[in-house]
Amino acid sequence: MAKATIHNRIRSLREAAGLTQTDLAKHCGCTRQTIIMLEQERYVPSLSLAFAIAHAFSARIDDVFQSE
Amino acid sequence: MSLARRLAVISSAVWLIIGIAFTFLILDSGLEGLASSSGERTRSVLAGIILPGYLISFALIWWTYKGRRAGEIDERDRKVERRATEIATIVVLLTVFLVCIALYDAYVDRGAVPVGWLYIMAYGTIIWVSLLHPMLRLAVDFFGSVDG
Repeated sequence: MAKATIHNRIRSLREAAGLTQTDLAKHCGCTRQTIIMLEQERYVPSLSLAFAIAHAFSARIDDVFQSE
Repeated sequence: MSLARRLAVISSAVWLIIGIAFTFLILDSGLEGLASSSGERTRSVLAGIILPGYLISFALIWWTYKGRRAGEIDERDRKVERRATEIATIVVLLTVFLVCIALYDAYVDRGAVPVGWLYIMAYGTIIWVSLLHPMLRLAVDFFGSVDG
Protein backbone atom coordinates (compact mmCIF):
# COMPACT_ATOMS: atom_id res chain seq x y z
CA MET A 1 0.00 0.00 0.00
CA ALA A 2 1.48 3.36 -1.05
CA LYS A 3 2.27 5.85 1.71
CA ALA A 4 -0.37 8.58 1.92
CA THR A 5 0.65 12.22 1.49
CA ILE A 6 -0.65 14.39 4.31
CA HIS A 7 -1.66 17.97 3.55
CA ASN A 8 -2.76 20.54 6.09
CA ARG A 9 -4.47 23.91 6.36
CA ILE A 10 -2.54 25.10 9.36
CA ARG A 11 -1.28 28.31 7.81
CA SER A 12 -4.66 29.45 6.52
CA LEU A 13 -6.39 28.53 9.79
CA ARG A 14 -3.68 30.28 11.81
CA GLU A 15 -3.91 33.47 9.77
CA ALA A 16 -7.69 33.41 9.96
CA ALA A 17 -7.42 33.10 13.74
CA GLY A 18 -4.96 36.00 13.90
CA LEU A 19 -2.28 33.88 15.54
CA THR A 20 1.44 34.10 15.02
CA GLN A 21 3.50 30.95 14.60
CA THR A 22 4.89 31.51 18.09
CA ASP A 23 1.38 31.81 19.55
CA LEU A 24 0.29 28.59 17.89
CA ALA A 25 3.47 26.82 18.99
CA LYS A 26 2.95 27.82 22.61
CA HIS A 27 -0.68 26.73 22.46
CA CYS A 28 0.23 23.32 21.05
CA GLY A 29 3.30 22.66 23.19
CA CYS A 30 5.78 22.59 20.34
CA THR A 31 8.42 24.92 18.91
CA ARG A 32 7.95 27.61 16.30
CA GLN A 33 10.32 25.63 14.10
CA THR A 34 7.90 22.69 14.13
CA ILE A 35 5.02 24.97 13.15
CA ILE A 36 7.11 26.29 10.24
CA MET A 37 7.88 22.74 9.11
CA LEU A 38 4.21 21.78 9.42
CA GLU A 39 3.06 24.76 7.36
CA GLN A 40 5.62 23.88 4.68
CA GLU A 41 4.30 20.29 4.83
CA ARG A 42 7.82 19.07 5.55
CA TYR A 43 6.77 17.36 8.75
CA VAL A 44 3.86 15.12 9.65
CA PRO A 45 3.03 15.46 13.35
CA SER A 46 2.30 12.74 15.83
CA LEU A 47 -1.34 12.07 16.59
CA SER A 48 -1.19 13.91 19.90
CA LEU A 49 0.30 17.03 18.29
CA ALA A 50 -2.23 16.82 15.44
CA PHE A 51 -5.04 16.77 18.00
CA ALA A 52 -3.46 19.68 19.88
CA ILE A 53 -3.31 21.72 16.68
CA ALA A 54 -6.92 20.93 15.78
CA HIS A 55 -7.97 21.84 19.31
CA ALA A 56 -6.12 25.17 19.02
CA PHE A 57 -8.38 26.04 16.08
CA SER A 58 -11.48 24.51 17.69
CA ALA A 59 -11.68 22.35 14.60
CA ARG A 60 -11.89 18.67 13.83
CA ILE A 61 -8.66 16.94 13.02
CA ASP A 62 -9.78 16.11 9.48
CA ASP A 63 -10.61 19.78 8.92
CA VAL A 64 -6.95 20.56 9.55
CA PHE A 65 -5.23 17.53 7.97
CA GLN A 66 -6.12 15.74 4.75
CA SER A 67 -4.53 12.72 3.20
CA GLU A 68 -4.38 11.80 -0.44
CA MET B 1 16.83 29.79 16.19
CA SER B 2 15.31 27.01 18.26
CA LEU B 3 17.07 25.79 21.40
CA ALA B 4 17.86 22.43 19.78
CA ARG B 5 19.51 24.12 16.80
CA ARG B 6 21.44 26.47 19.02
CA LEU B 7 22.81 23.61 21.10
CA ALA B 8 23.78 21.70 17.94
CA VAL B 9 25.60 24.76 16.54
CA ILE B 10 27.49 25.29 19.81
CA SER B 11 28.42 21.62 20.06
CA SER B 12 29.56 21.52 16.42
CA ALA B 13 31.70 24.63 16.86
CA VAL B 14 33.35 23.36 20.05
CA TRP B 15 34.20 19.94 18.64
CA LEU B 16 35.33 21.40 15.30
CA ILE B 17 37.87 23.56 17.16
CA ILE B 18 38.98 20.55 19.22
CA GLY B 19 39.24 18.43 16.07
CA ILE B 20 41.39 21.02 14.29
CA ALA B 21 43.66 21.43 17.35
CA PHE B 22 43.94 17.64 17.64
CA THR B 23 44.90 17.33 13.97
CA PHE B 24 47.58 20.01 14.22
CA LEU B 25 49.07 18.44 17.36
CA ILE B 26 49.18 14.98 15.75
CA LEU B 27 50.77 16.33 12.57
CA ASP B 28 53.27 18.29 14.64
CA SER B 29 54.36 15.41 16.85
CA GLY B 30 54.12 12.63 14.28
CA LEU B 31 53.33 8.97 14.99
CA GLU B 32 56.69 8.05 16.47
CA GLY B 33 56.78 11.18 18.60
CA LEU B 34 53.29 10.48 19.92
CA ALA B 35 54.16 6.97 21.06
CA SER B 36 57.58 7.76 22.55
CA SER B 37 58.39 9.02 26.03
CA SER B 38 59.07 12.44 24.52
CA GLY B 39 55.43 12.50 23.39
CA GLU B 40 54.20 12.66 27.00
CA ARG B 41 53.63 16.41 26.75
CA THR B 42 51.70 16.05 23.50
CA ARG B 43 49.55 13.28 24.96
CA SER B 44 48.80 15.42 28.01
CA VAL B 45 47.87 18.38 25.82
CA LEU B 46 45.60 16.17 23.72
CA ALA B 47 43.83 14.88 26.80
CA GLY B 48 43.59 18.45 28.07
CA ILE B 49 42.03 19.64 24.82
CA ILE B 50 39.30 17.04 24.97
CA LEU B 51 38.41 17.68 28.60
CA PRO B 52 36.78 21.11 28.01
CA GLY B 53 34.90 19.53 25.11
CA TYR B 54 33.35 17.06 27.51
CA LEU B 55 32.63 19.67 30.15
CA ILE B 56 30.83 21.73 27.53
CA SER B 57 29.01 18.63 26.26
CA PHE B 58 27.77 17.83 29.79
CA ALA B 59 26.62 21.42 30.14
CA LEU B 60 24.73 21.10 26.84
CA ILE B 61 23.13 17.86 28.00
CA TRP B 62 21.97 19.61 31.17
CA TRP B 63 20.71 22.54 29.07
CA THR B 64 18.84 20.07 26.81
CA TYR B 65 17.25 18.41 29.84
CA LYS B 66 16.09 21.79 31.12
CA GLY B 67 14.81 22.63 27.64
CA ARG B 68 12.75 19.46 27.51
CA ARG B 69 11.24 20.21 30.91
CA ALA B 70 10.38 23.76 29.75
CA GLY B 71 8.89 22.53 26.46
CA GLU B 72 11.56 24.24 24.37
CA ILE B 73 12.54 20.91 22.85
CA ASP B 74 9.57 19.17 21.27
CA GLU B 75 8.69 15.90 19.57
CA ARG B 76 10.28 16.87 16.29
CA ASP B 77 13.56 17.82 17.98
CA ARG B 78 13.61 14.42 19.69
CA LYS B 79 12.98 12.66 16.38
CA VAL B 80 15.77 14.67 14.75
CA GLU B 81 18.08 13.66 17.60
CA ARG B 82 17.16 9.99 17.18
CA ARG B 83 17.65 10.05 13.41
CA ALA B 84 21.03 11.81 13.82
CA THR B 85 22.09 9.16 16.35
CA GLU B 86 21.13 6.35 13.94
CA ILE B 87 23.11 7.85 11.08
CA ALA B 88 26.10 8.76 13.28
CA THR B 89 26.31 5.20 14.62
CA ILE B 90 26.53 3.76 11.12
CA VAL B 91 28.98 6.39 9.87
CA VAL B 92 31.33 6.00 12.85
CA LEU B 93 31.26 2.19 12.60
CA LEU B 94 32.09 2.42 8.91
CA THR B 95 34.87 4.92 9.61
CA VAL B 96 36.52 2.71 12.23
CA PHE B 97 36.19 -0.29 9.94
CA LEU B 98 37.77 1.52 6.99
CA VAL B 99 40.61 2.94 9.11
CA CYS B 100 41.40 -0.51 10.52
CA ILE B 101 41.42 -2.06 7.05
CA ALA B 102 43.61 0.77 5.72
CA LEU B 103 46.07 0.32 8.59
CA TYR B 104 46.17 -3.40 7.98
CA ASP B 105 46.90 -2.83 4.29
CA ALA B 106 49.58 -0.26 5.09
CA TYR B 107 51.43 -2.29 7.71
CA VAL B 108 50.73 -5.92 6.87
CA ASP B 109 54.26 -6.43 5.51
CA ARG B 110 55.84 -5.02 8.68
CA GLY B 111 53.79 -7.30 10.87
CA ALA B 112 52.90 -4.57 13.35
CA VAL B 113 51.03 -1.29 13.45
CA PRO B 114 52.81 1.65 15.16
CA VAL B 115 51.24 2.07 18.59
CA GLY B 116 50.69 5.78 17.97
CA TRP B 117 47.85 4.82 15.66
CA LEU B 118 45.94 3.28 18.56
CA TYR B 119 46.14 6.58 20.39
CA ILE B 120 44.97 8.48 17.30
CA MET B 121 42.10 6.05 16.73
CA ALA B 122 40.97 6.22 20.35
CA TYR B 123 40.86 9.99 20.63
CA GLY B 124 40.02 10.47 16.97
CA THR B 125 36.90 8.32 17.25
CA ILE B 126 35.71 10.28 20.28
CA ILE B 127 36.24 13.59 18.50
CA TRP B 128 34.71 12.33 15.26
CA VAL B 129 31.48 11.08 16.86
CA SER B 130 31.23 14.19 19.07
CA LEU B 131 31.55 16.42 16.00
CA LEU B 132 29.46 14.31 13.66
CA HIS B 133 26.38 13.97 15.85
CA PRO B 134 25.52 17.70 16.25
CA MET B 135 26.31 18.32 12.58
CA LEU B 136 23.94 15.52 11.62
CA ARG B 137 21.30 16.98 13.95
CA LEU B 138 21.53 20.23 11.97
CA ALA B 139 21.50 18.43 8.60
CA VAL B 140 18.50 16.27 9.50
CA ASP B 141 16.74 19.32 10.97
CA PHE B 142 17.17 21.26 7.71
CA PHE B 143 16.95 18.57 5.06
CA GLY B 144 15.72 15.34 6.56
CA SER B 145 12.35 13.76 7.07
CA VAL B 146 11.38 12.72 10.58
CA ASP B 147 7.65 12.30 10.13
CA GLY B 148 5.52 11.26 13.08
